[in-house]
Amino acid sequence: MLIRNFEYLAPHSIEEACGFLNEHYGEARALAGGQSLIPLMKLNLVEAKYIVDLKRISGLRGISRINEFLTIGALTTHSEIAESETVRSEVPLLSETASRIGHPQVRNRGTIGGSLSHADPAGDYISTMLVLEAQFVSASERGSRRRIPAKDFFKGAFSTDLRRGEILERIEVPIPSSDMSHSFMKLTLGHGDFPLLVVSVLGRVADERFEEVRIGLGGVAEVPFRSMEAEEFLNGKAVSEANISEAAKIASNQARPEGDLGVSKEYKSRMLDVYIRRALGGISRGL
Amino acid sequence: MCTFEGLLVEFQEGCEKILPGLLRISLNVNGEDRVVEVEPRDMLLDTLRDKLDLTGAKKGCNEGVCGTCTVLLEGRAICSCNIFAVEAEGTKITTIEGLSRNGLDSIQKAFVTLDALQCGFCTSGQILAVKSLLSNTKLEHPLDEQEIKEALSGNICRCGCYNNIVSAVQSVASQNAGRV
Repeated sequence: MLIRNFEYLAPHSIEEACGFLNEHYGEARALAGGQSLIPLMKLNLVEAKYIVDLKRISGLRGISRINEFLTIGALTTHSEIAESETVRSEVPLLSETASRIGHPQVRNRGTIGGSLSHADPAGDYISTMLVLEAQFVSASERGSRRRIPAKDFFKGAFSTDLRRGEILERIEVPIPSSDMSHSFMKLTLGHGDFPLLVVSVLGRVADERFEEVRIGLGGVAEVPFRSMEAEEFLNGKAVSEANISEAAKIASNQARPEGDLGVSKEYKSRMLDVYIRRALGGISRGL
Repeated sequence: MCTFEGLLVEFQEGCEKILPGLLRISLNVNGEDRVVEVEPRDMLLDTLRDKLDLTGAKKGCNEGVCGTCTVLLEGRAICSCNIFAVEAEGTKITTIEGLSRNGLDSIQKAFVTLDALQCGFCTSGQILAVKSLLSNTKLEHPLDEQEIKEALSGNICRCGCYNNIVSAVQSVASQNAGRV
């Protein structure tokens, strides 16, 4: 399909970009890596009079460790995150999440900020950000910054807490203690396809008991969520098939999957239970 | 340099907005600066093929799934159907034509020797994806089959030449082993 023509803008500062996005709210769209926005424009699902390319703004790209946080610029690509030694050693869950997005061509172009702002409920990063308790920092025209916890950022399918004229500037990820294990599981129809469901788990097993387990689920509700009930049930309990199954049951019961991409909601529901059990099995090593 | 409603759109020298909806931009393709007139909505793929006569990148799915349009942007494989030409302004692009300027590249030779193609439609994309893999990976150990398949997972071959493609990549990777 032919894309409706638009004006292309390439501002060099956040203030310029946000000022324009604010002034032309509803007509202007921010462009990061374009790996979701451009396909949507080709399908005429998104129309824009103005495209504001953020890639010429300096300072929005890169990974740094600041105290107990990893700070990741919104325009950092999935490949840069996946290949970063710092991310691999400090937050291996994030490293694995990034390394399994789509295929290399998408990872070389797509950005973490673009993916999070797009807020696809089955997007790879969201459940991982929830269990890592990441903080999102948005910027606006006047130079002000707003810090939004991951749990408050996602408001609905393809909808975020970003306000008129705001863009996501960076993501701050608290570095989990080194004795934490993780699992990242997703169900796709084929390698590199869009996920049908995503399970991110972070936690620890000490003295054969689960501790500080966090379970994030994506693609099985309008907004990805953490199953606090399952976490509460599991923490302090012995590592056993029975406890894992019960936790998976509790978490699955909170999900409200819809059928999509040719699979039924019953299938997703069933697979969610399987994937949560596998993910919890993964952190309890060899169970 | 051109301005729009007071907002600066700074491109390299010589680039300008000619009319509303038409831009003159400079693309560095295969080491040469090429000036081209594009609409903002023009994809890099269409610009390369229709305006710069570089038809090595193919249009398959046109939605970033099949990999036949793969080119290198700053040395990394991307889908040229999923990037506006204007976004590539000021970057270095390599197409399959740029790989064989001084005779066939070692990857191309391996594809020929090991018969890693049948119809050839996906081949330029496959080769550039391999180029991206080999030039961005530290080859501390021989690439195993799984790593090669992962690196080429964005390139579909409908003739089903995957076995020979993997063999060709293994052959080139072993020649390059130790080189970072």
